[in-house]
Amino acid sequence: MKKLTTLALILLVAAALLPRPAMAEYAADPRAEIAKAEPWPAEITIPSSVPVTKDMYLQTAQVFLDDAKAKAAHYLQQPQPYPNMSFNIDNASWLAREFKQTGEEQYAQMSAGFLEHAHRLLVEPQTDIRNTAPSWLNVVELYFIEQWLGQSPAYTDQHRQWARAICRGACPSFGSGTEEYGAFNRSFHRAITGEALLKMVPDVNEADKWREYKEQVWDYWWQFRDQDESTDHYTALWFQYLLEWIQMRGNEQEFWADPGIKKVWERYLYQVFPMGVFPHYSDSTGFNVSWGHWIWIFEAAATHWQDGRYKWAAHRLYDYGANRIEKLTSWSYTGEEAGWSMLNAYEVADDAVVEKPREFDILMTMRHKGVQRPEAESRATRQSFDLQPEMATDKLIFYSGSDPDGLSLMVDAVGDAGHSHARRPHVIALADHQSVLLMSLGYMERNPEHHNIPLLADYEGFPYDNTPYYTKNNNNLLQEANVVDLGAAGYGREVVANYQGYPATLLREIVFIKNAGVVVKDTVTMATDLRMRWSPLWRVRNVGPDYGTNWINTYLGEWVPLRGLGVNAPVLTRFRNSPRDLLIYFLPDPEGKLELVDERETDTTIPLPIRVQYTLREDLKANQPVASVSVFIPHGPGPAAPLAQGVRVLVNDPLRTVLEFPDADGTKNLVVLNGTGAALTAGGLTTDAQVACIRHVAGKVSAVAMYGGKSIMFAGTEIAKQAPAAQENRVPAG
Amino acid sequence: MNRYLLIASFALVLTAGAYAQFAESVLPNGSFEEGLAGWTLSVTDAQGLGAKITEDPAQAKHGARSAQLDLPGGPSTASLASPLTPVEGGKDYLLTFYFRSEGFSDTNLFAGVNLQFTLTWLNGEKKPVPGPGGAGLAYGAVPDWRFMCKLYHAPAEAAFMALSYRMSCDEKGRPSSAWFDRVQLRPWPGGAGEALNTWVYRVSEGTFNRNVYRRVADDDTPTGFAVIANPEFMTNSGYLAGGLYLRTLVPGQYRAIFRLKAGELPAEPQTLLSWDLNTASMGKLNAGTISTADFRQAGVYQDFSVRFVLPPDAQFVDPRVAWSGAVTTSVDTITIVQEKEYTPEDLKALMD
Repeated sequence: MKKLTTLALILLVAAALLPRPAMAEYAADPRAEIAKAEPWPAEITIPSSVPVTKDMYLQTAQVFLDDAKAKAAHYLQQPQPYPNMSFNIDNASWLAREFKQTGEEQYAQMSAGFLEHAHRLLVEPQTDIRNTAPSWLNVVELYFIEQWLGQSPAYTDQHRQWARAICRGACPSFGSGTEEYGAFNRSFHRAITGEALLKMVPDVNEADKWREYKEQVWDYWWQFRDQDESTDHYTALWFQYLLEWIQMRGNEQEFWADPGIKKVWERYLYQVFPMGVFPHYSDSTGFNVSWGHWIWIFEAAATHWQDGRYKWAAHRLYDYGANRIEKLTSWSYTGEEAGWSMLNAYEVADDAVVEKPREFDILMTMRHKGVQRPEAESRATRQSFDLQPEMATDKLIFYSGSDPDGLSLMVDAVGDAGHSHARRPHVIALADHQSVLLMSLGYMERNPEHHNIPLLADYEGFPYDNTPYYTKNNNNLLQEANVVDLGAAGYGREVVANYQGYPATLLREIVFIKNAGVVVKDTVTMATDLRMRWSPLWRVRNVGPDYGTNWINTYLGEWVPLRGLGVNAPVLTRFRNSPRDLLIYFLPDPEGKLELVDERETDTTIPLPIRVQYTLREDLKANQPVASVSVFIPHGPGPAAPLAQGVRVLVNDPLRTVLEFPDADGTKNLVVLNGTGAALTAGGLTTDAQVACIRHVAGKVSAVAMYGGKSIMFAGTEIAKQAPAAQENRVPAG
Repeated sequence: MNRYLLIASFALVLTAGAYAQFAESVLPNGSFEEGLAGWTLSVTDAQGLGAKITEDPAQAKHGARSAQLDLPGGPSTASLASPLTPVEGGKDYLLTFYFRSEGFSDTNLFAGVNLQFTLTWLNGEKKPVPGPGGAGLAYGAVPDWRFMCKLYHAPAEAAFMALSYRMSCDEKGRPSSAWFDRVQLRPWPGGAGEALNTWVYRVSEGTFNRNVYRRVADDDTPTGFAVIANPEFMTNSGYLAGGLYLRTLVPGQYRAIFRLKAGELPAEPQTLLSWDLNTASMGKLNAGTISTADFRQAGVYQDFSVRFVLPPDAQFVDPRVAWSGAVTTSVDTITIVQEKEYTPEDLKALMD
């Protein structure tokens, strides 16, 4: 480490002596950016919880249980209740749960005490009434409190009446005109409120409307056994509501036996990176935000299906989250709410289920096609999406097996979906050796340059369709998405029309070489002549210690921040990252310029402040494709020059790319992308493959991957037979 | 050109708090304490409905009297024009007044009765010269006294200004009355104050009319993007920049800086843009135009700085730029610089 630091310092000084190249106004000086970089600490120690057991979930949640007990010791002794309805009911929930876990009557008494205080807020005059009214959000809690306190003598008939009075106050009417329909988190939240309300107060006002509504929401989603949102954050909420709902409906046996349920669960099972994180995408507050919820969601599946794959995912998520979160109590969503889900996980988990890796490395997740209703119809019907019977693409996923250190990649391939954005085909996350190398930004970062997709813009004001991504639009229309597992490598491709609103098509091809690196080729074809500025773009947090004219070393740094919504929002939680760097290498182009854009000046807390782009300013001609190729090579922290200097470009044009790059282990990776349909010869290689990858060390071939051809002659030997058959893995299948 | 303060000069003028913020009003009898003396009254009432302008000794925001305009419903007009007030060409003036009204409209939409004020700038020969005008006042009744505050830049040739309040009613209008009081025109010292706070807003982030204009690549901006108006592709419509609706600014003195680029500078100067600082409750705090002649160089970004005084209760401030459709124009940022946050004493001086 010390040697690397010294070398980095030398390179930094050398770079500082170089004259600043001519740059666009917006481009930052790489030397200045390198000087600002947060260095990796000399050592990062991360504890391990392996082997994970269900008791650990309880231990993690204990801090919040203890907090509720401390609050009881103080607030229940006060003459006046604390003037916040949710505060009292939340604490009643935690303590009812503790009573259920321990059977100790004192906790039932504390829970009942908070319920009494909650009821006093309802019936006694209060000085500060800002937060004393009950909310419909309290109803489900009250239902479960009653279930957990059960037969405790502390929970008297009077408490039952109080709970019902609060429910009536929380939902004085159905609130016609504010309800929403469809299969998504908000409709589910309201529907489970109705379910709980009718169980608590069957004769509540407008009971028929509540009943009709919740059944309508249930019947709709049950047709498809699916939901319409593409977001890690809201999907986790949706699953939570669903798990609570089936408990209330009492149909758990039928539910867990249904094959459609297995399908929707499996889609998300495969989105857990082997390192133990659930990457965030679309409308999400950030990295691994719902880690606790997913643990519950997967433990429930592991137990009911006795399926070790879900156990594996839950344990990985716990080991990562519990040991890497900076401070569990820094933010309620990643702390208290995660802890609550871990109590649920503790309750449902079966330690007898043995962890089992997932079957597939490289796959495409699928979902029921969603069709967004026009805005007027959506407003009139209070439903935004219609699910369709047919399946559609969701995410392209690339893993290198189940080892937590394995190289992992996720790319968006979703069509219309709720809480999603038309940013196809952006790279959602890239990780290696348990280090986040690329990821998305959050909820409010809504411009194309905020995401890992090519930028495309003209200079003159061509009347392209500039409808924002986050509203319904006809831009970035997904025309094709496919992925194949080729053994040592995977190949994915997406074709997107109306790219960025222009009469343009983007073809993004990805060659993922397991535990080695990734090649991304972006090919843009305009339907009109136009001068454009375009570039592949990758969001990073730190750059350095070295760079070249067409490459730069990058890394995220010791902490992966998760912040609130919007510019300059405070950082709420951080997860500790493992040390690993990423060389971003752009295949050289006479028109290309490596550019860094630093957004820290206007947004001081943005988790990924730097845009790394290889910018081309070109007069694009109609129907004449142009391409740019990015190569990602993860490696240990330190200079990337040795790797960058090892990249060989043998052929590179819009239809053909042949390159070789060394990976961190010293293996050479020869990659072919050939869209011509004809054989090509380059660097001792002749092949008719559409995609090929040859891994070799010291002249010895260690692995061959091939797609769309029959022959690979390498160093005079036909090696195509060494390539396994391509597998098209779809999850869920069918 | 001179009216726009170049950013480069800001550092040289650090006089915040040192200059006299609130000079004496140069407009005589603005509180109508001498009745309507000096003011010119004009009424049209062909049907003899009873339209009139009077002093009201029973209602006043300041002192004991106010001016009252009454239209009893039906076609009629009433205009109240101030004495000719000497001004210095090229200088800024702060116009403030109070008004209230009854009748008018229940919906805040036009219902036959209109109320507005106009400014007429005159040269030394008392001939009108082009300059910033007035604005319409609320269509709906304003039962409580409402404070109005606008900063004006006197045309270079101006030697006098006349302020006129005009009320009109058509055959559908209901009986309505309007009162005016504490009309002040105060010379406003030149120069920029020290920046207490600065907020930069990038128009290309979305505060423009997306239906008309386009976010484009621009290598001359800090983000690499700008919003462009190009007559080759667009017609003038909507705001090239606008929609920030700044709700967190506290009462005080500010300047707004529009960072703009003109694609070409025609030999014959043309009005390129109009700008304003719009509010929810009191119209525009300041407004004006930018000509192609105001640009030093084509194809180069230039800052145009304008000042405004923000009183309480404006609800929001929306700095806006509308394009004339003549020449390709790009906008990068709108910067708001806070020069002074008003104390209660400042507000008293401003509004009393």
